[in-house]
Amino acid sequence: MRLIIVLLIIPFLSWTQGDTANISFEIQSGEYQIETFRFYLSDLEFYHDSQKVHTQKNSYHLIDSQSKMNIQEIISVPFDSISFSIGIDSSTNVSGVMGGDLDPINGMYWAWQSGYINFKLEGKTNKSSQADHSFQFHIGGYSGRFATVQRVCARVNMSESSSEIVMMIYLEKLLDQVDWSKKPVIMRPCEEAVQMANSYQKIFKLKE
Amino acid sequence: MKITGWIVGLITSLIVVESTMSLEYPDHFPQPKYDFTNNPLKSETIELGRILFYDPILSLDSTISCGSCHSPFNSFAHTDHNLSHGIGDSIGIRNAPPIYNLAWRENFMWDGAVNHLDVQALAPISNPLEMGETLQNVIKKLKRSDIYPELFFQAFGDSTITGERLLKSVSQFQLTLVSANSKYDKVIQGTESFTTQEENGYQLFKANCNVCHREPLFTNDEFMNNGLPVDTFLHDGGRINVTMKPEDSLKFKVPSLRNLKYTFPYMHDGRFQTLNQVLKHYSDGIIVHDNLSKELKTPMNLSANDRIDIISFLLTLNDNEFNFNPKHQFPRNILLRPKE
Repeated sequence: MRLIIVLLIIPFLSWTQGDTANISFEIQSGEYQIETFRFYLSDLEFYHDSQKVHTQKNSYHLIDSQSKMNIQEIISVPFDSISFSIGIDSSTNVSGVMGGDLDPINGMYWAWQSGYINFKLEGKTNKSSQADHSFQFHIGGYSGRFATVQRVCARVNMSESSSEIVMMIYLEKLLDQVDWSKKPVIMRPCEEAVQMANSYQKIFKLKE
Repeated sequence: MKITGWIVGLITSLIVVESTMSLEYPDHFPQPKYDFTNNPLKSETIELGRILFYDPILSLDSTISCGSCHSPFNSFAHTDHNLSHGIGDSIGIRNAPPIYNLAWRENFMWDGAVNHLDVQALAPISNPLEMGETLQNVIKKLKRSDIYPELFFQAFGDSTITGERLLKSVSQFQLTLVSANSKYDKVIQGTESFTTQEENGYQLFKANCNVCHREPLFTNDEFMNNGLPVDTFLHDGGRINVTMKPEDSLKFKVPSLRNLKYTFPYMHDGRFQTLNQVLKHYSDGIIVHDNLSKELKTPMNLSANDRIDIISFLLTLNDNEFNFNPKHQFPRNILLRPKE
């Protein structure tokens, strides 16, 4: 069947492709405006009874809140859980230049130090100490203690007729955890980037 | 029937001209480290890479090309410049290294910030002190140009211009810059001999320098602290900027010693104008930093004659054939074409 994994950003209550540019929202912790939200989703795998039953080929997807929020895959075996990475694996990071979603022209590759930006979140909030109230979180780093690639796993309950999985991304949880007393700019492999990456496990959740 | 089949096969093989090539290098060189399977050398791609290398279109205001700081007549170094200048006369913090024998490297830049040749060009293109551009904008300019769609077509079979293709072409040109035909190489191959002074210098070199400046590439491609006094103006920590490990402070990549005639001034910040100054530093100028390379912990005690002999040997590493090879030069017929 042609499976579609749809990604939904919370707290955007409804989503239509393209209208998430400069979306503002207010949640308990404050008011935020998201200007850029992009990340790599890669190495998608499907499991049944804890056995891997299917691996997506060329599994590198640049997810972009303004243009690409779903992934498709043809799969013909039953499965009860999926897993994927947020970010690009370390061996791809040392293999030079690639094309398609991995092309550096997509703006998700650091020029000054080799490596992919796994997760990019930019916007404005009244909580930011910057003069223009902006924040830029470019989460990269592929090796050693600053590696920020994270694996996310989720159980799914596929009925016979379903061909869609909805994955929620609870951005509000990520933003709630930011220490706004510090400068909200992360642009290199560092401890703060690792901390933010560690929160992915809590923010990527399957819709029940 | 058999003869007809043979003739068809012959004609087909003549029509389908295989223009992929393999890198040529002498027997005394090790195997290249670059993985050519993802970027097999092809003459049209090398030519595209050469044109891009010399085209200032890669810079914001079209004044700076790769060739601006990597000059072909000077072993692709920025001769007589300690630090390079980019657009608007901006000055950087590092000396532009020469470009040769890159197929044998795994780390690029003085601090190893770049881990693969194919992504190296991104750094100078995007550095505001160098070319000040973005890859996205460069691609837009190439698509609008009168020559590049056709050049990409010849190299890749269609005229789609992508970041991947641009970078791989520039890599291909650089990979063909092989310097392996100096007097030293000929001595190793048995077709020439050192003078007495050069031979003496070679023995001293092997006793004092060869561990880091390992033959025949004259570098071990590692990061070392070679005891230079800290530059209190540039404050350049070197490798620590990439790994963030304190033990990597003041470590820089061991450069190759080929073509030194052309690549002065020397060191990561071009602080030494002459080889004499370099040798004096190694002889009795080393600062014993905590993480000084262990090879340098014992003083070398080189006499003035020793230093002259070593320099005499080092000059046998100059490769004039490489330096003046017309295949590497500025493509004047393309880049100086009359504008319509």
